[in-house]
Amino acid sequence: MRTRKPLSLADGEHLQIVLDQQYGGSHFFGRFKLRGLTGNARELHLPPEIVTALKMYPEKRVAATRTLLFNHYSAQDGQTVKLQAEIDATLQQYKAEMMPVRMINTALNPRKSHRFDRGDFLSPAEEVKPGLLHVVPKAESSQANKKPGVAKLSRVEAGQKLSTMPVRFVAAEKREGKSAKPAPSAETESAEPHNSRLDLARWLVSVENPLTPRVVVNQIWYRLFGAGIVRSVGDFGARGELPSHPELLDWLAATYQRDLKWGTKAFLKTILMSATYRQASTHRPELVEIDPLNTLLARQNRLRVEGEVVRDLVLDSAGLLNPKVGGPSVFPPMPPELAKLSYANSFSWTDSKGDDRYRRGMYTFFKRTIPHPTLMTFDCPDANVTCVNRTVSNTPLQALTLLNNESFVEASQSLAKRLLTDDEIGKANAAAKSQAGDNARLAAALQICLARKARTDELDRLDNLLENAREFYQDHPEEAEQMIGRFAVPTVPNAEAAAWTATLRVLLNLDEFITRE
Amino acid sequence: MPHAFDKHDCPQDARMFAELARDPQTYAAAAQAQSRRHFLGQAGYGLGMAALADLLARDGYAKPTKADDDAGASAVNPLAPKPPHFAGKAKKCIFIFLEGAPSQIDLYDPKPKLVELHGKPLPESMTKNVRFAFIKKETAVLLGSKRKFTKHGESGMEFSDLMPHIATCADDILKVRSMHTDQFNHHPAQLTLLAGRPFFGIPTMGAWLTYGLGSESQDLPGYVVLSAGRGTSGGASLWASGFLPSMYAGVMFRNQGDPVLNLSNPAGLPPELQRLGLDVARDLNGERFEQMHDPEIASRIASYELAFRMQSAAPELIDLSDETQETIDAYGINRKETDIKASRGGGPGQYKQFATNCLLARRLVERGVRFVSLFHASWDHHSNLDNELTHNCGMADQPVAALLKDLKQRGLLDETLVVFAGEFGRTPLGENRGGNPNATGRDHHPFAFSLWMAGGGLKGGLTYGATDEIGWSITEKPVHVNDFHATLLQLFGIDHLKLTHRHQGLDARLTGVAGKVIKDWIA
Repeated sequence: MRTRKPLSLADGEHLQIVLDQQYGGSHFFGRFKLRGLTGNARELHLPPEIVTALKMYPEKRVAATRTLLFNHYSAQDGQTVKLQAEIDATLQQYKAEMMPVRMINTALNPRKSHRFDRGDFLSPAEEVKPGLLHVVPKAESSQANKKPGVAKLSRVEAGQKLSTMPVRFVAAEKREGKSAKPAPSAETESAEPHNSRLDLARWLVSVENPLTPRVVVNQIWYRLFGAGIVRSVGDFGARGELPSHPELLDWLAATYQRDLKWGTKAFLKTILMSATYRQASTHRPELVEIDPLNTLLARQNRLRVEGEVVRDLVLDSAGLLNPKVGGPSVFPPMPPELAKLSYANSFSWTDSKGDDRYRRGMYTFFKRTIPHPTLMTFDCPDANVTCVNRTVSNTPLQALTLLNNESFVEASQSLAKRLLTDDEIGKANAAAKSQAGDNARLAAALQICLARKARTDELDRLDNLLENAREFYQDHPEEAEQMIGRFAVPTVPNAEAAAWTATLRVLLNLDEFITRE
Repeated sequence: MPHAFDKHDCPQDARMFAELARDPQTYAAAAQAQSRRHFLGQAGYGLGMAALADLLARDGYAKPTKADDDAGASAVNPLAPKPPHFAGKAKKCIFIFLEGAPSQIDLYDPKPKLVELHGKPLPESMTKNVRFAFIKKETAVLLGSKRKFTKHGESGMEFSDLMPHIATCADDILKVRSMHTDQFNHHPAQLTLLAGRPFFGIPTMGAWLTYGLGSESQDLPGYVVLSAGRGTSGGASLWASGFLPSMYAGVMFRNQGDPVLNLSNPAGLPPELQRLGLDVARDLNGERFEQMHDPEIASRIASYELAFRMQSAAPELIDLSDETQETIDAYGINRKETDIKASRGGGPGQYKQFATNCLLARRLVERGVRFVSLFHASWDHHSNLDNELTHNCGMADQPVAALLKDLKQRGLLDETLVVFAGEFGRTPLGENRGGNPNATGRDHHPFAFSLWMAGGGLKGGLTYGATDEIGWSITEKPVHVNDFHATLLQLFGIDHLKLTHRHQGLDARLTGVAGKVIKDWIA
């Protein structure tokens, strides 16, 4: 609305607006607000987007609209314009190094925290202060020590058990004449300055804190050898196990933290290049009596790869894997009715198209009430609680998944196509159907899938299957067409491609295929 | 004790090798104690695996005995049956979960006084510290039930007119009127009822039972989930294995397509080629086993054989053509659905699906499956209670009664525990969401609710516990969900304090840090 004539109000005068509602017997408008603006918006020559933004209710304006208004307003002020130009120039300078980081600022207005009785947020019990457990080395508060990047430890002994072993870190501290202080009582605790997340972060990576690198290197070790140096990888506490090689654990921790400055890639390489890591995992009868748990690592351990990696291996062997890094999650095929079992059918799953269908397993969208069944079948944790060591199971559902799941069947079709169109093998043996040609292809497939040379007896068995499959598909063109799916090879008869698909599928179902040996 | 796994000549070994299949570290200890020949006898030949048999023969070992054969099956099957802590009558469980929570006041716990007080408010002192999901305390008034209750059987157990069929099983039923839970919203309460605590990531009761006892079925999963209607609030977390290995998670049997995901061979692959392919895989795996001696390989070979058997067992399970017309009719599979309009459920077809699931549950326990979960959503009757409850009971009453009678007639009820429960109860107050004065439904009520169970060594005909005149609070023998779980485990011969799994430094159990066994329930 606009007044016909400009109005001006003297001090003490009020403007009364009367709304005459003439619709039916009741009020058409309920609760409403009126807002006023002095001047005439049309004469301000405002850009149209600013007018639109101004016409919106303030509470309806999204952040971008508010920014738009703010920037327009600031641009009217010379001083602000000048300062903004400086900011922009500075930002431009650092642009390449900047990335968005989420921050939680608790320093200004620290929240009161309570212990929740039995975890129930409706039953707050006594108030608690942020701080470290008394059993771990303790850092000084950032408020007491403002120097960035430095966290002094007032107590250095780690969990009781670790501190009793010959540990380099502890020994070093003792040389410096520091000794353990008793755990602070509740009163002294409350008198301390408020600890923040920053204190925790500094404590975690403090060069004087041996616990973090020990835990991290132990987890890496566990993933490379199948067992940690401390076997209870999730528990370095009083109920955890003692390390099998304490000096090694400390050497690794010190190397990782101090020499390699937390460089995980370099650290991995250190282990991967070691003689211990590079051992074969072949059975050695003489070790059964001496070291049944293979604690001393006189050989490698065999490890079934993780659920996500099972998928990666299958796709990679098939030549389908899309190696793209990062980006939003993807939706590999899943029966749509499964998604309906989520909360009151509130979630739907649309299979990804194109290359996104073949992304690595780790990019699979994770819906906690309906996680992807392939991942769950291969022991992927349900992402509800932290999981530091996965269980490894061996179930018929895994067999059914590898044998029949849509993604994995596609992979065997693609693998067959890959082998049948491989020029190298074609050149090596022009007579593709001859026994030698088949064997060359089968051997190549084994090399792709198992990364080793084939043995004659293996080739014989696979070749026998191939012959049987050929016989079947030559008589059953319809089945042959179904078996190859979208992966027909123009230069090869369907029956031939189908026979190869049925045969190579076996390789993707071998224990060796999904096992790191 | 007539129990399948008693037939093993050496249950100790069977258990150890079941452990072995799960945990390679345990294997090593086992390997130290056992000779190679013994292991191969256990792990290999039992399943008729030619490659390992060849190994044995080449090594000059005799053909293993029948005893080895039986034990062998369990050695490589992680779900092989394991003995309980002590003798228990229950061997299997059918857990019928009514998601959303049915009204105990309209089904199990008649309150004449509530009918009398219909339309009256509650004294403020009673609702002062109560949180409701939707009720507005200021104007809420009591809602009497329109249902007629009658006594049934020799026990005189009371049921409302919505459960005429189930009422005929009164003397086999143990009804609890004094249940209570800690949670008043659906998903947390569902997790509490099915997993003992209101948290994501913890194992459900079916997972605990298969973890503790394994499964007698050689060709079906040990823990099967059947669902009718729409999804539950909890989704897969209601049949998850949580921090237990995933092999103990419930396996969803689907209503469409393959009963089990990935069950069918790829299109265009005939069974004979599937078998040939599996034979080649088995041979190649067997050779690898010879080099590596890793029991995981034997376990994988066995898992493929189990999968192959499941490929015929699962379709056979859902093929009802071998059931008599009498049975099909008793379960009411082809009944006409009621005309009553219910808007909360999963649309048409639920009656048939639910009845079919009841019959499938019987077929599953018959085949040795340890735990069958039957889900139906929704019983969350905030409004239109009379119609919705009539609709849902019309669906559940006949097939569930038929299931109880069928199990009993086949001699399976003694060893099969049947539970019929929702995650909490409903308020005696009518729900006046948004201040609506015409309450036609009830809100969530965790303080006092009812459920019933039958079979599995429970006392039939017992009505346990009591609530006050309007059904607000428990007046006699309160039963927390943890007590309920402790007692159910007891029926299976499991001490709930001893069935544990080390997780994050704790020996976690189904009953958390609580739970007491209610001896009065056990026959």
